[in-house]
Amino acid sequence: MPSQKEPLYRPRSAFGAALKEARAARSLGLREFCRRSGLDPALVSRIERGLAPPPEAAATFNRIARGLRLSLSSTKWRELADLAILSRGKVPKDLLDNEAVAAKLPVLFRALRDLRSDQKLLQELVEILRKA
Amino acid sequence: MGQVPYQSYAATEAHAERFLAKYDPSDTIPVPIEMIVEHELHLDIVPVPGLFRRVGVTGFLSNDCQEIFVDQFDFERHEARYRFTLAHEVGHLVLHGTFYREAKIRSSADFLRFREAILAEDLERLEIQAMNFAGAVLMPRGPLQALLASFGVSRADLVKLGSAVARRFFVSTGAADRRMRLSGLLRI
Repeated sequence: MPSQKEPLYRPRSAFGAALKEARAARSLGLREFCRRSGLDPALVSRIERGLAPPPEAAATFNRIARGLRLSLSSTKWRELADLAILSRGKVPKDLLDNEAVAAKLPVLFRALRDLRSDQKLLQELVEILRKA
Repeated sequence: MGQVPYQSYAATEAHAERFLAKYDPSDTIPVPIEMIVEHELHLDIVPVPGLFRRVGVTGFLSNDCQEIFVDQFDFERHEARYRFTLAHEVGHLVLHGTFYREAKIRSSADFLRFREAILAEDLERLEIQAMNFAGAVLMPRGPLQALLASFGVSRADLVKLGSAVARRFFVSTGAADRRMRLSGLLRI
């Protein structure tokens, strides 16, 4: 059981925090972001606070990209989309659609389980993947 | 006997100046209050549809001082008023943080209960001090003084002054007039 100093990773609030962080990195206030994206400010606020799930509809997601001025092929955009998919307990579709990648997912999951107790090794793996 | 101590306008203004020195060191005008609230103070802004209609206020600060609830209509349509509301609630955070943390406000209903339970003189002090803080934050003394100096002192100039201050600092003319009057910078 994690201690209080190691909070549980919660995909729903992780997406909200990532969205707010992305706005901060672009010096975008909530008002300007909502104006650009056309999204309901009350909903955006709830998502960012982890009180509402990340959007599922592609159209809403595209509005978030527009609000952040992110291209749909950017790494940041991919990260946000992956967080939203993970919040629903799913694996990103593009990975599942790639047979070679999908076949290796069980190996990856096993490796992650094995590394679970070794935070240092796990962090190293994350760094390797980030640089890849 | 109230629990909120009296604070002079000068003392409140000094709080505002320290706040700006810390969170807006580049002296940006209009003061980017929303950016400061969200990305410097790390507070969440919570737009609430119909807040003013239902509760009679344009905003309030949660008791954990982590969220500022704002009227969604103001958020979308009245940016100057929305900006003032944010600065006003930051005023409560800076000046009355301890008082608010004890008030257990988590919703509009909690806020209404808080307003009904508090002594009228305390409520008045809280609101006036936060309003003075908001005016001093959004219209810092230096830039305000510089703008006023560029105007004459005729009656016609005075009429234009409120609008000019409101435009420059992105506040309402009411807030501009109040700040000019209380700051002592308008010497006519």
